[in-house]
Amino acid sequence: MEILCVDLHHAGYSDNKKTIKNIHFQLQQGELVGLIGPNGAGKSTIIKTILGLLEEVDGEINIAGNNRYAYIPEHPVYYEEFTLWEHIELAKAVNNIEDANFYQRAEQLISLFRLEHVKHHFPGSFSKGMQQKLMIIVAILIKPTLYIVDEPFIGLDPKAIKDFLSIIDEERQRGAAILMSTHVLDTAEKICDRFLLVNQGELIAAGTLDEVRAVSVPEASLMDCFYYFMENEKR
Amino acid sequence: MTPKQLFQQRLKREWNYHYEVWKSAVDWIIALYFIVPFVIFICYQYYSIWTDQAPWIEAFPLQYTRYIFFYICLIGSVRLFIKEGDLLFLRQEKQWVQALMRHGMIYSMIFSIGLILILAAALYPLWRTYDDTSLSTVFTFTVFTSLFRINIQFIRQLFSIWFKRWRLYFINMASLITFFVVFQLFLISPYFVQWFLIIINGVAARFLFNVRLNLTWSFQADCLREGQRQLVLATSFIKASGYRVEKNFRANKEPFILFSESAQVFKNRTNSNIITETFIKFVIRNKSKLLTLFQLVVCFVVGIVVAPFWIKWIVLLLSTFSIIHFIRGSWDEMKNHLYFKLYPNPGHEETSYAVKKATFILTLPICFLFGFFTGWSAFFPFVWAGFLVAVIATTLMYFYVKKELMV
Repeated sequence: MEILCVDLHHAGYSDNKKTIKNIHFQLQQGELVGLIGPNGAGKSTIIKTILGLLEEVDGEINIAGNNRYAYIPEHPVYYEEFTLWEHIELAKAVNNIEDANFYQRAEQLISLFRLEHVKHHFPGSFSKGMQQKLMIIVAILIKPTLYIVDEPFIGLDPKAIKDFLSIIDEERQRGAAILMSTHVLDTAEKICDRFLLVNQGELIAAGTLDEVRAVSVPEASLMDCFYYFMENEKR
Repeated sequence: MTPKQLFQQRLKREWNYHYEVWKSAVDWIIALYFIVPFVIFICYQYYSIWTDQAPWIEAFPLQYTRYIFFYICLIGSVRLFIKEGDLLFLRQEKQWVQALMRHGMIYSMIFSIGLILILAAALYPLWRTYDDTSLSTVFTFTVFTSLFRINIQFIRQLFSIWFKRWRLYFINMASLITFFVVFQLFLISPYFVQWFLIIINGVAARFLFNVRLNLTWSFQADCLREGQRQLVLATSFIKASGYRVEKNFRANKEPFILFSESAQVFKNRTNSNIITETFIKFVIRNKSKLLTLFQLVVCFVVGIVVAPFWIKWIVLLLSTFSIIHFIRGSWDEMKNHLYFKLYPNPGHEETSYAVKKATFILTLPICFLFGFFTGWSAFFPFVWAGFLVAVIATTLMYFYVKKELMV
C-alpha cells in the first residue's frame, strides 16, 4: 500500500526561484527510505514541501490513510512554558488520541530514553540530545502512518541511536512508512530499503543500494556511490 | 589590530545596527507626522520652563523627579563587547578578552555618566526655577547617581552570574529594596553624609570593576547577555508590533511555583481538559503575558473608578472585551507555535470547547474585579453593589465566551 506519493514539478521559497525540480517518488507501507544529498541540495525543501510549509509548489503530495504523519525536525521545537510531560499530554490532546495505553507507552519511552529524572522539567533546560529524544518520543506516541525524520542521529548518544533504530524497526512492522534525511551514510546503508539521492534540487539517483551501485560504482558502499555522484556532478 | 581597535569596530557596528533598526522602524511619514511635531512640542515646553512661562509646572510633583533617576539606575547593563566567535579566536588570549571587557566596562561607565548628565541637564531648569535647588546640590546628586548606576549595574550582573532561579529572584528583590534605601538615605542626608556616600560608591565601583574584569568563566552567559543587549532596540520594536519574541536566556529547569511536577488542573484527563489545562499554563507561565495582563487590569480598574457614572459601564464593557480577546489571542500564539505544526491537526469540536473553557477560567477573576469596581464606585460606598455587578458581569461574560467567541 502506498503511504506517500510525491509528484513535484517544482517548488521553492518564491515563484521566481525554483529550489527543487522534478521530484517524483513514492513510499510504501513499512518502507524506510533515505533522503541523501550534500548540504544545500534541497532535502529540507523536499521535507517542507511534504509538510505543506512552502508557498510556491507546483505538483501534488498525497498521504494515504488517516493522513496522520509525524515530523521529527533536525532542530527540536518545544514550548518554553511546558514540561516534558506536558508536551506529551498536549500531543495526545491535539491529535485526539484516545488510546487507553497512551500513558503507559509514554512512561515506557521516557524510561527507555532515560528521561525519567527530567519528566517534569522544561525542555529549554535540556541538552540538544535530550530535546531530540523528546521529539522522537512524541512522534512515536501518536502512531503515525508516515514519519518524516530530519537528521535524527545528531546529538543522540549511542544507546539512544540504537533504541531509536529498534523502535523504527517496530514501527515499520506496524506498517508505518519512514522518510529519513541523513548524512550518516554508514547507518543509512544498513537500515534503509531504498535511497533518494538529491543534488542541486533534483533527484539524481533513486532505488535500492544495488540499483544505486548499478549506475555508479559496483560493489561500493553508499558513501562511495555518493562520492562518485558528487564528483561526476562537478565534471 | 589591537583590542582597542576591535572594541571600536564592534561599538561602531552596534551603533550602525541601532541606526538601521531605527531607520526601518521610523520611516519619513512617522518622522514627519509624529516624531518631529513631538520634538518641537517638547522643545517648546522646555523653553517655557526656562523662561518661567509654563503654568502647568505648579501642579507638577517636583519632589518625585529624583525618582526618575532611581529608575534609570535600575535599567541597562554593563557591556563587555565579547562575542561567541571569540571562543574560537580570542579566548586563548586572556589579555585580549580582558582588554575588550575593560573597554566595554569603561564605555558602560561613560554611558551611565552621560545618561545621568543629560537627564540632570534636562531637569535642572525645573529644580532651579521652581524648587530653588542650588547648582552644587544638583552636582552632588549627579555625581552620586552616576556612580550609583554604575554600581547597581555591576552588582545586578554579578548576582545574575552567581545565583540562579529562586535564589536570584529573592536576591534581586532584596537588592532592589537595599538600593532604594540607599537612594532615599542620600536624598534625606546632610551634605557631608552625601559626600561620604559618594566616596563609598566610588570605592565600590573600582572594586566591582576589578571583580567583573577577572570573572571570565561566565563567558558563554556573558555572550548570551551581550547578544540580548545588542538586540534590545530591535526586540522592543518587534514586541511593540505584537510579535512574540522567544526568550531563552537561562531557562528555568522546572516550574517554580505554578503547577510544579506537571501538576494537573483537571483530574479527568480527557483531550479537551488537557487542551484547556495546557492553554491555562501557557498563559500563566508566560511572564511577559502576565505583566501585560496586570498592566491592562490596573489601567482598566483606574479607568472604571475615575470615569463618570454612565461612562463606567462602557469602560466595563470595553475592558472585559479587551481581556477576553487578549487571552483569546494567546491561543493563536500557542497554536501557531512550530511544535503544534509537527503533526497535522485537523482541529476538532473539543478543541474549540476547550479553548473557550480556558478563556472563561482565565477571564473570570479579572472580569469579577472589573464588575466589582464598577458597581462599588458607581454606588459608593455600597460594597454589595460591587458584588452584584461582578456576578452579573461574569455571568454575561460566560454566555458571550460560550456562544459568541470564535475559536
